[in-house]
Amino acid sequence: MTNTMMRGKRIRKLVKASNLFVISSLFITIIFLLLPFIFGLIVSLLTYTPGARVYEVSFTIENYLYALRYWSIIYSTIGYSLLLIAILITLAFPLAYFLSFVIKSERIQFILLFFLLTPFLIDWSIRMMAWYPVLGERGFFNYLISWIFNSLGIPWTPIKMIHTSFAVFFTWIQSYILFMTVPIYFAMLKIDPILVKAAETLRAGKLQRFYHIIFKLSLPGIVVGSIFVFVMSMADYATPAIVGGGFMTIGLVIVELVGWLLWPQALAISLVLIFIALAAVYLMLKVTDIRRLIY
Amino acid sequence: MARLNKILCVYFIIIAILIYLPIIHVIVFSFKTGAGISYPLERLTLDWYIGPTKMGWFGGFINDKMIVSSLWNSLYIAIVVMIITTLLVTMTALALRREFRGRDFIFYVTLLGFIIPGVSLGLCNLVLFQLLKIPLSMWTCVFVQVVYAVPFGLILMLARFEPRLARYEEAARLHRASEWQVFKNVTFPLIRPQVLSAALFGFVLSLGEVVRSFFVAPHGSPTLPVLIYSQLTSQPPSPKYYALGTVVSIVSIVLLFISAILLTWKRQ
Repeated sequence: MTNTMMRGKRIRKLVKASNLFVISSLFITIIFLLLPFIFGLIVSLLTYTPGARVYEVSFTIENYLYALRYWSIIYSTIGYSLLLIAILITLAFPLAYFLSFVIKSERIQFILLFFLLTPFLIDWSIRMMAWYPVLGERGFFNYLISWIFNSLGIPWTPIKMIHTSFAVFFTWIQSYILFMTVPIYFAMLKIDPILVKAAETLRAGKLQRFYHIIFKLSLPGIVVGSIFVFVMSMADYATPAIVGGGFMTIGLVIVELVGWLLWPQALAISLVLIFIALAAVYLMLKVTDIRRLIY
Repeated sequence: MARLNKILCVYFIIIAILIYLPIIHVIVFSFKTGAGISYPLERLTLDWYIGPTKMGWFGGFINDKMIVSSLWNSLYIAIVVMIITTLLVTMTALALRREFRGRDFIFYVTLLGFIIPGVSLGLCNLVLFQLLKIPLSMWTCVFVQVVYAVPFGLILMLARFEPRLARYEEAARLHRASEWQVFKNVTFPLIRPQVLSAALFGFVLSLGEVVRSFFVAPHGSPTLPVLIYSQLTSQPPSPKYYALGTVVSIVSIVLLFISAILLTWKRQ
Protein backbone atom coordinates (compact mmCIF):
# COMPACT_ATOMS: atom_id res chain seq x y z
CA MET A 1 0.00 0.00 0.00
CA THR A 2 2.75 2.40 0.88
CA ASN A 3 4.31 1.42 -2.37
CA THR A 4 1.33 2.51 -4.47
CA MET A 5 1.05 5.72 -2.47
CA MET A 6 4.67 6.48 -3.13
CA ARG A 7 4.25 5.74 -6.79
CA GLY A 8 1.21 8.01 -6.94
CA LYS A 9 3.22 10.75 -5.29
CA ARG A 10 6.06 10.27 -7.69
CA ILE A 11 3.75 10.47 -10.68
CA ARG A 12 2.10 13.59 -9.32
CA LYS A 13 5.54 15.08 -8.82
CA LEU A 14 6.49 14.29 -12.38
CA VAL A 15 3.31 15.71 -13.80
CA LYS A 16 3.78 18.98 -11.96
CA ALA A 17 3.42 21.72 -14.56
CA SER A 18 7.00 22.94 -14.55
CA ASN A 19 8.47 19.49 -14.95
CA LEU A 20 6.08 18.84 -17.79
CA PHE A 21 7.40 21.88 -19.60
CA VAL A 22 11.00 20.93 -18.98
CA ILE A 23 10.28 17.51 -20.40
CA SER A 24 8.54 18.95 -23.44
CA SER A 25 11.36 21.44 -23.93
CA LEU A 26 13.85 18.60 -23.81
CA PHE A 27 11.59 16.62 -26.12
CA ILE A 28 11.59 19.35 -28.78
CA THR A 29 15.33 19.81 -28.44
CA ILE A 30 15.93 16.09 -28.79
CA ILE A 31 13.62 15.65 -31.78
CA PHE A 32 14.75 18.69 -33.72
CA LEU A 33 18.36 18.91 -32.58
CA LEU A 34 19.82 15.60 -31.46
CA LEU A 35 17.78 13.35 -33.73
CA PRO A 36 18.68 15.30 -36.91
CA PHE A 37 22.28 15.27 -35.74
CA ILE A 38 22.27 11.48 -35.36
CA PHE A 39 20.47 11.00 -38.68
CA GLY A 40 22.95 13.35 -40.33
CA LEU A 41 25.84 11.39 -38.84
CA ILE A 42 24.45 8.10 -40.15
CA VAL A 43 23.60 9.41 -43.62
CA SER A 44 27.01 11.02 -43.93
CA LEU A 45 28.50 7.53 -43.50
CA LEU A 46 26.29 5.87 -46.12
CA THR A 47 27.13 5.08 -49.71
CA TYR A 48 25.02 7.17 -52.04
CA THR A 49 24.29 7.12 -55.74
CA PRO A 50 23.55 10.74 -56.74
CA GLY A 51 21.69 9.96 -59.99
CA ALA A 52 19.34 7.40 -58.50
CA ARG A 53 19.08 9.26 -55.15
CA VAL A 54 19.33 5.99 -53.26
CA TYR A 55 21.16 5.33 -50.03
CA GLU A 56 22.79 1.95 -49.69
CA VAL A 57 23.19 0.60 -46.20
CA SER A 58 26.90 0.07 -46.43
CA PHE A 59 29.15 2.24 -44.36
CA THR A 60 31.96 4.19 -45.88
CA ILE A 61 34.13 7.15 -45.02
CA GLU A 62 34.25 8.22 -48.65
CA ASN A 63 32.09 11.26 -47.94
CA TYR A 64 34.55 12.49 -45.36
CA LEU A 65 37.41 11.97 -47.79
CA TYR A 66 35.37 14.06 -50.23
CA ALA A 67 34.98 16.70 -47.52
CA LEU A 68 38.76 16.78 -47.13
CA ARG A 69 38.97 18.27 -50.63
CA TYR A 70 37.44 21.40 -49.20
CA TRP A 71 39.96 21.55 -46.39
CA SER A 72 41.50 24.77 -47.68
CA ILE A 73 38.08 26.48 -47.65
CA ILE A 74 37.35 25.25 -44.12
CA TYR A 75 40.74 26.55 -43.12
CA SER A 76 40.25 29.96 -44.69
CA THR A 77 36.71 30.27 -43.28
CA ILE A 78 38.10 29.78 -39.78
CA GLY A 79 40.77 32.34 -40.63
CA TYR A 80 38.15 34.87 -41.76
CA SER A 81 36.16 34.33 -38.57
CA LEU A 82 39.22 34.84 -36.38
CA LEU A 83 40.19 37.96 -38.31
CA LEU A 84 36.63 39.25 -37.93
CA ILE A 85 36.76 38.57 -34.18
CA ALA A 86 40.02 40.52 -33.90
CA ILE A 87 38.56 43.47 -35.85
CA LEU A 88 35.37 43.44 -33.82
CA ILE A 89 37.16 43.32 -30.45
CA THR A 90 39.16 46.36 -31.52
CA LEU A 91 36.05 48.21 -32.68
CA ALA A 92 33.71 47.14 -29.88
CA PHE A 93 36.02 47.67 -26.92
CA PRO A 94 36.14 51.49 -27.16
CA LEU A 95 32.40 51.52 -27.79
CA ALA A 96 31.66 49.47 -24.67
CA TYR A 97 34.14 51.58 -22.71
CA PHE A 98 32.39 54.74 -23.86
CA LEU A 99 28.99 53.41 -22.84
CA SER A 100 29.98 52.09 -19.44
CA PHE A 101 32.69 54.49 -18.20
CA VAL A 102 32.34 57.78 -20.06
CA ILE A 103 28.54 58.01 -19.83
CA LYS A 104 27.85 58.35 -16.15
CA SER A 105 24.05 58.21 -16.04
CA GLU A 106 22.64 54.70 -16.24
CA ARG A 107 19.50 55.99 -17.89
CA ILE A 108 21.42 57.57 -20.76
CA GLN A 109 23.50 54.40 -21.11
CA PHE A 110 20.31 52.43 -21.51
CA ILE A 111 18.87 54.89 -24.03
CA LEU A 112 22.06 54.91 -26.13
CA LEU A 113 22.23 51.12 -26.08
CA PHE A 114 18.61 50.85 -27.12
CA PHE A 115 19.27 53.40 -29.86
CA LEU A 116 22.10 51.24 -31.22
CA LEU A 117 20.08 48.04 -30.88
CA THR A 118 16.94 49.25 -32.66
CA PRO A 119 18.09 48.50 -36.25
CA PHE A 120 19.01 44.97 -35.16
CA LEU A 121 15.46 44.22 -34.21
CA ILE A 122 14.57 44.59 -37.87
CA ASP A 123 14.62 41.60 -40.13
CA TRP A 124 18.18 40.74 -41.15
CA SER A 125 17.28 40.18 -44.79
CA ILE A 126 15.77 43.66 -45.04
CA ARG A 127 19.04 45.14 -43.87
CA MET A 128 20.86 43.05 -46.45
CA MET A 129 18.92 44.73 -49.29
CA ALA A 130 20.52 48.02 -48.35
CA TRP A 131 24.02 47.01 -49.36
CA TYR A 132 23.26 47.59 -53.03
CA PRO A 133 22.50 51.29 -52.55
CA VAL A 134 25.26 51.67 -49.93
CA LEU A 135 28.16 49.82 -51.52
CA GLY A 136 27.05 49.71 -55.17
CA GLU A 137 28.97 51.17 -58.11
CA ARG A 138 26.79 54.27 -57.92
CA GLY A 139 25.91 53.80 -54.28
CA PHE A 140 26.33 55.96 -51.20
CA PHE A 141 30.06 55.53 -50.59
CA ASN A 142 31.11 55.88 -54.20
CA TYR A 143 28.83 58.87 -54.64
CA LEU A 144 30.18 60.52 -51.49
CA ILE A 145 33.83 59.90 -52.36
CA SER A 146 33.49 61.05 -55.94
CA TRP A 147 31.59 64.16 -54.84
CA ILE A 148 34.42 65.04 -52.42
CA PHE A 149 37.11 64.38 -55.00
CA ASN A 150 35.30 66.24 -57.78
CA SER A 151 34.79 69.30 -55.63
CA LEU A 152 38.54 69.22 -54.93
CA GLY A 153 39.09 69.06 -58.67
CA ILE A 154 40.60 65.58 -58.71
CA PRO A 155 39.21 63.09 -61.23
CA TRP A 156 37.80 59.95 -59.66
CA THR A 157 36.37 56.78 -61.09
CA PRO A 158 34.04 54.72 -58.88
CA ILE A 159 35.62 51.66 -57.30
CA LYS A 160 33.99 48.26 -57.12
CA MET A 161 32.84 47.64 -53.56
CA ILE A 162 29.91 45.26 -53.64
CA HIS A 163 30.71 41.67 -54.65
CA THR A 164 34.18 41.85 -53.13
CA SER A 165 35.65 40.45 -49.93
CA PHE A 166 35.69 44.01 -48.57
CA ALA A 167 31.89 44.06 -48.82
CA VAL A 168 31.61 40.77 -46.94
CA PHE A 169 33.75 42.03 -44.07
CA PHE A 170 32.01 45.40 -44.01
CA THR A 171 28.63 43.68 -43.83
CA TRP A 172 29.81 41.28 -41.15
CA ILE A 173 31.18 44.14 -39.06
CA GLN A 174 27.89 46.00 -39.33
CA SER A 175 25.85 42.90 -38.51
CA TYR A 176 27.87 41.59 -35.59
CA ILE A 177 29.39 44.63 -33.88
CA LEU A 178 26.71 44.75 -31.21
CA PHE A 179 27.00 41.02 -30.50
CA MET A 180 30.52 41.90 -29.38
CA THR A 181 29.74 45.25 -27.76
CA VAL A 182 26.83 44.21 -25.55
CA PRO A 183 28.61 41.36 -23.67
CA ILE A 184 31.71 43.54 -23.13
CA TYR A 185 29.45 46.34 -21.92
CA PHE A 186 27.76 44.03 -19.41
CA ALA A 187 31.14 42.77 -18.19
CA MET A 188 32.36 46.36 -17.78
CA LEU A 189 29.24 47.31 -15.83
CA LYS A 190 30.33 44.82 -13.16
CA ILE A 191 33.75 46.44 -12.73
CA ASP A 192 33.81 48.40 -9.50
CA PRO A 193 35.26 51.90 -10.22
CA ILE A 194 36.90 51.75 -6.78
CA LEU A 195 39.32 49.16 -8.20
CA VAL A 196 40.61 51.72 -10.70
CA LYS A 197 41.00 54.26 -7.89
CA ALA A 198 42.81 51.69 -5.75
CA ALA A 199 45.21 50.91 -8.56
CA GLU A 200 45.84 54.62 -8.97
CA THR A 201 46.63 54.93 -5.27
CA LEU A 202 49.02 52.01 -5.60
CA ARG A 203 50.78 53.95 -8.36
CA ALA A 204 49.86 51.75 -11.27
CA GLY A 205 50.48 53.50 -14.58
CA LYS A 206 47.71 54.26 -17.04
CA LEU A 207 48.48 51.21 -19.17
CA GLN A 208 48.81 48.94 -16.16
CA ARG A 209 45.46 50.11 -14.82
CA PHE A 210 43.86 49.54 -18.19
CA TYR A 211 45.36 46.09 -18.69
CA HIS A 212 45.10 44.62 -15.19
CA ILE A 213 41.68 45.95 -14.30
CA ILE A 214 39.58 47.02 -17.25
CA PHE A 215 40.86 44.54 -19.81
CA LYS A 216 41.17 41.50 -17.55
CA LEU A 217 37.79 42.00 -15.93
CA SER A 218 36.01 42.46 -19.23
CA LEU A 219 37.52 39.24 -20.56
CA PRO A 220 34.32 37.21 -19.92
CA GLY A 221 32.44 39.66 -22.11
CA ILE A 222 35.06 39.41 -24.83
CA VAL A 223 34.84 35.62 -24.73
CA VAL A 224 31.05 35.55 -24.94
CA GLY A 225 31.11 38.05 -27.80
CA SER A 226 33.77 36.02 -29.60
CA ILE A 227 31.68 32.87 -29.28
CA PHE A 228 28.67 34.67 -30.77
CA VAL A 229 30.68 36.07 -33.66
CA PHE A 230 32.60 32.87 -34.35
CA VAL A 231 29.56 30.62 -34.41
CA MET A 232 27.52 32.99 -36.57
CA SER A 233 30.17 34.10 -39.05
CA MET A 234 31.69 30.66 -39.60
CA ALA A 235 28.40 29.10 -40.68
CA ASP A 236 27.16 32.13 -42.57
CA TYR A 237 26.48 31.50 -46.22
CA ALA A 238 23.89 34.19 -46.86
CA THR A 239 26.18 37.23 -46.55
CA PRO A 240 28.84 35.93 -48.97
CA ALA A 241 26.12 34.75 -51.34
CA ILE A 242 24.56 38.21 -51.46
CA VAL A 243 27.51 40.62 -51.33
CA GLY A 244 30.49 38.30 -51.76
CA GLY A 245 30.75 37.74 -55.48
CA GLY A 246 32.87 34.61 -55.39
CA PHE A 247 33.94 34.96 -51.76
CA MET A 248 33.91 31.33 -50.64
CA THR A 249 33.04 30.16 -47.17
CA ILE A 250 32.37 26.61 -46.09
CA GLY A 251 28.67 27.37 -45.55
CA LEU A 252 28.38 28.34 -49.20
CA VAL A 253 30.08 25.07 -50.19
CA ILE A 254 27.48 23.14 -48.20
CA VAL A 255 24.60 24.99 -49.88
CA GLU A 256 26.13 24.35 -53.31
CA LEU A 257 26.58 20.64 -52.61
CA VAL A 258 22.95 20.43 -51.49
CA GLY A 259 22.01 22.09 -54.76
CA TRP A 260 23.96 19.41 -56.66
CA LEU A 261 22.13 16.74 -54.61
CA LEU A 262 25.37 15.53 -53.03
CA TRP A 263 23.70 15.29 -49.64
CA PRO A 264 25.98 12.86 -47.79
CA GLN A 265 29.00 14.91 -48.82
CA ALA A 266 27.31 18.11 -47.66
CA LEU A 267 26.36 16.39 -44.40
CA ALA A 268 29.94 15.24 -43.85
CA ILE A 269 31.14 18.83 -44.15
CA SER A 270 28.38 20.12 -41.87
CA LEU A 271 29.29 17.59 -39.21
CA VAL A 272 32.92 18.65 -39.42
CA LEU A 273 31.63 22.20 -39.01
CA ILE A 274 29.64 21.21 -35.91
CA PHE A 275 32.72 19.67 -34.31
CA ILE A 276 34.83 22.71 -35.11
CA ALA A 277 32.20 24.98 -33.53
CA LEU A 278 31.97 22.82 -30.41
CA ALA A 279 35.75 22.61 -30.08
CA ALA A 280 36.09 26.37 -30.53
CA VAL A 281 33.44 27.11 -27.90
CA TYR A 282 35.09 24.64 -25.54
CA LEU A 283 38.50 26.27 -26.03
CA MET A 284 37.10 29.76 -25.57
CA LEU A 285 35.36 28.75 -22.35
CA LYS A 286 38.74 27.57 -21.08
CA VAL A 287 40.06 31.14 -21.30
CA THR A 288 37.76 32.48 -18.65
CA ASP A 289 34.78 31.69 -16.51
CA ILE A 290 31.77 33.20 -18.26
CA ARG A 291 29.47 32.35 -15.39
CA ARG A 292 30.74 35.58 -13.85
CA LEU A 293 28.73 37.36 -16.52
CA ILE A 294 25.45 35.63 -15.72
CA TYR A 295 25.47 35.61 -11.93
CA MET B 1 41.18 62.59 -20.32
CA ALA B 2 38.65 65.07 -21.65
CA ARG B 3 40.19 64.76 -25.09
CA LEU B 4 39.90 60.99 -24.98
CA ASN B 5 36.24 61.31 -24.06
CA LYS B 6 35.66 63.63 -27.02
CA ILE B 7 37.34 61.17 -29.37
CA LEU B 8 35.19 58.36 -27.99
CA CYS B 9 32.09 60.47 -28.45
CA VAL B 10 32.91 61.07 -32.12
CA TYR B 11 33.66 57.37 -32.46
CA PHE B 12 30.26 56.51 -31.03
CA ILE B 13 28.57 58.79 -33.57
CA ILE B 14 30.50 57.17 -36.45
CA ILE B 15 29.47 53.69 -35.32
CA ALA B 16 25.87 54.82 -34.91
CA ILE B 17 25.89 56.16 -38.50
CA LEU B 18 27.38 52.88 -39.70
CA ILE B 19 24.66 50.93 -37.90
CA TYR B 20 21.85 53.10 -39.24
CA LEU B 21 23.21 53.36 -42.80
CA PRO B 22 21.45 50.26 -44.22
CA ILE B 23 18.02 50.89 -42.78
CA ILE B 24 18.04 54.53 -43.85
CA HIS B 25 18.88 53.46 -47.39
CA VAL B 26 16.07 50.93 -47.45
CA ILE B 27 13.63 53.68 -46.51
CA VAL B 28 15.04 56.27 -48.92
CA PHE B 29 15.17 53.94 -51.93
CA SER B 30 11.63 52.74 -51.42
CA PHE B 31 10.45 56.19 -52.59
CA LYS B 32 12.75 56.42 -55.59
CA THR B 33 11.48 56.72 -59.15
CA GLY B 34 13.04 54.43 -61.76
CA ALA B 35 14.14 50.85 -61.33
CA GLY B 36 17.88 51.41 -60.76
CA ILE B 37 19.11 51.03 -57.20
CA SER B 38 21.64 53.86 -57.35
CA TYR B 39 22.20 57.53 -56.62
CA PRO B 40 21.24 60.25 -57.44
CA LEU B 41 17.64 60.43 -56.37
CA GLU B 42 15.39 62.47 -58.63
CA ARG B 43 11.74 62.42 -57.66
CA LEU B 44 9.85 60.60 -54.97
CA THR B 45 6.99 58.21 -55.62
CA LEU B 46 4.68 55.80 -53.84
CA ASP B 47 4.53 53.43 -56.84
CA TRP B 48 6.55 50.76 -55.08
CA TYR B 49 4.01 50.65 -52.29
CA ILE B 50 0.62 50.73 -53.98
CA GLY B 51 1.21 50.98 -57.72
CA PRO B 52 -0.37 48.40 -60.06
CA THR B 53 1.80 45.40 -60.96
CA LYS B 54 3.54 45.52 -64.36
CA MET B 55 5.76 42.76 -65.76
CA GLY B 56 6.32 41.25 -62.32
CA TRP B 57 9.07 43.76 -61.60
CA PHE B 58 7.27 47.09 -61.41
CA GLY B 59 4.39 47.95 -59.14
CA GLY B 60 3.52 48.08 -55.50
CA PHE B 61 4.40 45.25 -53.16
CA ILE B 62 0.87 44.98 -51.82
CA ASN B 63 -0.23 43.79 -55.25
CA ASP B 64 2.45 41.07 -55.36
CA LYS B 65 0.75 37.85 -54.23
CA MET B 66 4.03 36.07 -53.45
CA ILE B 67 5.22 38.85 -51.13
CA VAL B 68 1.91 39.19 -49.33
CA SER B 69 1.50 35.45 -48.75
CA SER B 70 5.09 35.07 -47.50
CA LEU B 71 4.56 38.04 -45.18
CA TRP B 72 1.52 36.32 -43.64
CA ASN B 73 3.47 33.04 -43.44
CA SER B 74 6.26 34.76 -41.55
CA LEU B 75 3.94 36.54 -39.15
CA TYR B 76 1.99 33.37 -38.46
CA ILE B 77 5.18 31.36 -37.83
CA ALA B 78 6.66 34.14 -35.67
CA ILE B 79 3.58 34.29 -33.45
CA VAL B 80 3.49 30.50 -32.98
CA VAL B 81 7.24 30.44 -32.27
CA MET B 82 6.81 33.28 -29.80
CA ILE B 83 4.10 31.46 -27.85
CA ILE B 84 5.92 28.11 -27.73
CA THR B 85 9.28 29.71 -26.90
CA THR B 86 7.82 31.82 -24.09
CA LEU B 87 6.12 28.85 -22.44
CA LEU B 88 9.17 26.61 -22.72
CA VAL B 89 11.68 29.23 -21.64
CA THR B 90 9.68 30.32 -18.63
CA MET B 91 9.10 26.83 -17.33
CA THR B 92 12.63 25.62 -18.07
CA ALA B 93 14.18 28.65 -16.42
CA LEU B 94 11.99 28.27 -13.32
CA ALA B 95 12.84 24.57 -13.07
CA LEU B 96 16.57 25.11 -13.61
CA ARG B 97 16.79 27.13 -10.40
CA ARG B 98 16.39 23.93 -8.41
CA GLU B 99 19.05 21.26 -8.12
CA PHE B 100 18.01 18.02 -9.74
CA ARG B 101 19.61 15.20 -11.64
CA GLY B 102 20.14 16.05 -15.29
CA ARG B 103 19.99 19.79 -14.70
CA ASP B 104 23.32 20.51 -16.35
CA PHE B 105 22.42 18.14 -19.17
CA ILE B 106 19.23 20.06 -19.92
CA PHE B 107 21.04 23.39 -19.77
CA TYR B 108 23.85 22.38 -22.11
CA VAL B 109 21.63 20.52 -24.57
CA THR B 110 19.41 23.58 -24.80
CA LEU B 111 22.42 25.81 -25.45
CA LEU B 112 23.50 23.51 -28.29
CA GLY B 113 20.61 24.94 -30.30
CA PHE B 114 22.61 28.13 -30.56
CA ILE B 115 26.15 26.73 -30.73
CA ILE B 116 25.56 24.26 -33.56
CA PRO B 117 26.03 26.19 -36.83
CA GLY B 118 22.69 27.05 -38.45
CA VAL B 119 23.62 25.69 -41.83
CA SER B 120 24.47 22.28 -40.34
CA LEU B 121 21.32 22.11 -38.25
CA GLY B 122 19.13 23.19 -41.17
CA LEU B 123 20.61 20.54 -43.44
CA CYS B 124 20.42 17.79 -40.81
CA ASN B 125 16.75 18.63 -40.22
CA LEU B 126 16.05 18.59 -43.95
CA VAL B 127 17.60 15.11 -44.23
CA LEU B 128 15.58 13.93 -41.24
CA PHE B 129 12.31 15.17 -42.76
CA GLN B 130 13.18 13.65 -46.12
CA LEU B 131 14.02 10.23 -44.70
CA LEU B 132 10.97 10.11 -42.46
CA LYS B 133 8.85 11.39 -45.38
CA ILE B 134 7.59 14.39 -43.39
CA PRO B 135 6.48 17.07 -45.87
CA LEU B 136 8.00 20.50 -45.33
CA SER B 137 5.43 22.84 -43.84
CA MET B 138 5.05 25.80 -41.52
CA TRP B 139 5.43 23.45 -38.58
CA THR B 140 8.84 22.17 -39.62
CA CYS B 141 9.89 25.84 -39.73
CA VAL B 142 8.30 26.54 -36.37
CA PHE B 143 10.12 23.83 -34.47
CA VAL B 144 13.49 24.41 -36.07
CA GLN B 145 13.16 28.08 -35.09
CA VAL B 146 12.03 27.21 -31.55
CA VAL B 147 15.23 25.21 -31.03
CA TYR B 148 17.13 28.33 -32.11
CA ALA B 149 15.15 30.86 -30.06
CA VAL B 150 14.97 28.97 -26.74
CA PRO B 151 18.67 29.27 -25.75
CA PHE B 152 18.62 33.06 -26.22
CA GLY B 153 15.51 33.44 -24.11
CA LEU B 154 16.82 31.07 -21.47
CA ILE B 155 20.09 32.95 -20.97
CA LEU B 156 18.24 36.25 -20.98
CA MET B 157 15.87 35.00 -18.33
CA LEU B 158 18.38 33.23 -16.06
CA ALA B 159 20.65 36.28 -16.06
CA ARG B 160 17.90 38.62 -14.93
CA PHE B 161 15.92 36.73 -12.31
CA GLU B 162 14.94 38.64 -9.20
CA PRO B 163 17.41 37.32 -6.60
CA ARG B 164 14.84 37.03 -3.80
CA LEU B 165 12.29 35.20 -5.95
CA ALA B 166 12.74 31.82 -4.23
CA ARG B 167 12.29 33.38 -0.79
CA TYR B 168 9.03 35.10 -1.76
CA GLU B 169 7.73 31.81 -3.13
CA GLU B 170 8.69 30.02 0.07
CA ALA B 171 6.86 32.65 2.09
CA ALA B 172 3.73 32.14 0.02
CA ARG B 173 3.98 28.37 0.48
CA LEU B 174 4.27 28.81 4.24
CA HIS B 175 0.94 30.60 4.03
CA ARG B 176 -0.50 27.46 2.44
CA ALA B 177 -0.82 28.81 -1.06
CA SER B 178 -1.21 26.06 -3.64
CA GLU B 179 1.47 25.68 -6.30
CA TRP B 180 -0.79 27.32 -8.87
CA GLN B 181 -1.57 30.22 -6.54
CA VAL B 182 2.14 30.69 -5.87
CA PHE B 183 2.81 30.83 -9.58
CA LYS B 184 -0.12 33.11 -10.38
CA ASN B 185 0.22 35.57 -7.51
CA VAL B 186 3.93 35.58 -6.66
CA THR B 187 6.21 34.11 -9.30
CA PHE B 188 4.60 35.37 -12.47
CA PRO B 189 4.17 39.04 -11.46
CA LEU B 190 7.85 39.08 -10.42
CA ILE B 191 9.17 37.59 -13.64
CA ARG B 192 6.75 39.30 -16.04
CA PRO B 193 9.38 41.64 -17.58
CA GLN B 194 11.65 38.66 -18.32
CA VAL B 195 8.76 36.68 -19.79
CA LEU B 196 7.83 39.61 -22.02
CA SER B 197 11.40 40.08 -23.20
CA ALA B 198 11.73 36.36 -23.93
CA ALA B 199 8.55 36.57 -25.99
CA LEU B 200 9.90 39.59 -27.82
CA PHE B 201 13.15 37.78 -28.56
CA GLY B 202 11.32 34.73 -29.84
CA PHE B 203 9.24 36.88 -32.18
CA VAL B 204 12.14 38.93 -33.51
CA LEU B 205 14.48 35.94 -33.96
CA SER B 206 11.79 33.97 -35.76
CA LEU B 207 10.78 36.85 -38.03
CA GLY B 208 14.35 37.35 -39.24
CA GLU B 209 15.58 33.77 -39.37
CA VAL B 210 16.91 32.79 -42.80
CA VAL B 211 19.87 30.41 -42.45
CA ARG B 212 17.81 27.51 -41.04
CA SER B 213 14.46 28.32 -42.66
CA PHE B 214 16.10 28.32 -46.09
CA PHE B 215 16.42 24.53 -45.79
CA VAL B 216 13.13 23.65 -44.11
CA ALA B 217 10.70 26.24 -45.53
CA PRO B 218 8.10 24.69 -47.82
CA HIS B 219 8.77 25.28 -51.50
CA GLY B 220 6.25 27.57 -53.13
CA SER B 221 5.29 29.36 -49.92
CA PRO B 222 8.52 30.52 -48.30
CA THR B 223 8.86 32.82 -45.32
CA LEU B 224 9.58 36.48 -45.99
CA PRO B 225 13.34 36.38 -45.23
CA VAL B 226 13.79 33.31 -47.42
CA LEU B 227 11.94 35.03 -50.27
CA ILE B 228 14.05 38.18 -49.91
CA TYR B 229 17.24 36.12 -49.68
CA SER B 230 16.45 34.27 -52.90
CA GLN B 231 15.70 37.62 -54.60
CA LEU B 232 18.93 39.17 -53.36
CA THR B 233 21.58 36.69 -54.39
CA SER B 234 23.88 38.30 -56.95
CA GLN B 235 21.52 41.05 -58.22
CA PRO B 236 19.68 44.06 -56.82
CA PRO B 237 16.01 43.32 -56.16
CA SER B 238 13.01 45.25 -57.45
CA PRO B 239 12.50 48.46 -55.44
CA LYS B 240 9.17 47.11 -54.24
CA TYR B 241 11.16 44.97 -51.82
CA TYR B 242 12.53 48.19 -50.34
CA ALA B 243 8.98 49.45 -49.88
CA LEU B 244 8.10 46.18 -48.19
CA GLY B 245 11.19 46.46 -46.00
CA THR B 246 10.23 49.99 -44.99
CA VAL B 247 6.75 48.98 -43.91
CA VAL B 248 7.94 45.90 -42.00
CA SER B 249 10.72 47.89 -40.30
CA ILE B 250 8.52 50.75 -39.21
CA VAL B 251 5.79 48.45 -37.92
CA SER B 252 8.26 46.32 -35.97
CA ILE B 253 10.07 49.35 -34.52
CA VAL B 254 6.79 50.84 -33.33
CA LEU B 255 5.73 47.52 -31.80
CA LEU B 256 9.11 47.13 -30.10
CA PHE B 257 8.99 50.64 -28.68
CA ILE B 258 5.57 49.99 -27.26
CA SER B 259 6.73 46.77 -25.65
CA ALA B 260 9.91 48.42 -24.34
CA ILE B 261 7.80 51.12 -22.73
CA LEU B 262 5.52 48.48 -21.25
CA LEU B 263 8.57 46.61 -19.92
CA THR B 264 10.05 49.58 -18.09
CA TRP B 265 6.68 50.90 -17.03
CA LYS B 266 5.59 47.66 -15.33
CA ARG B 267 8.79 47.44 -13.33
CA GLN B 268 8.16 50.59 -11.34
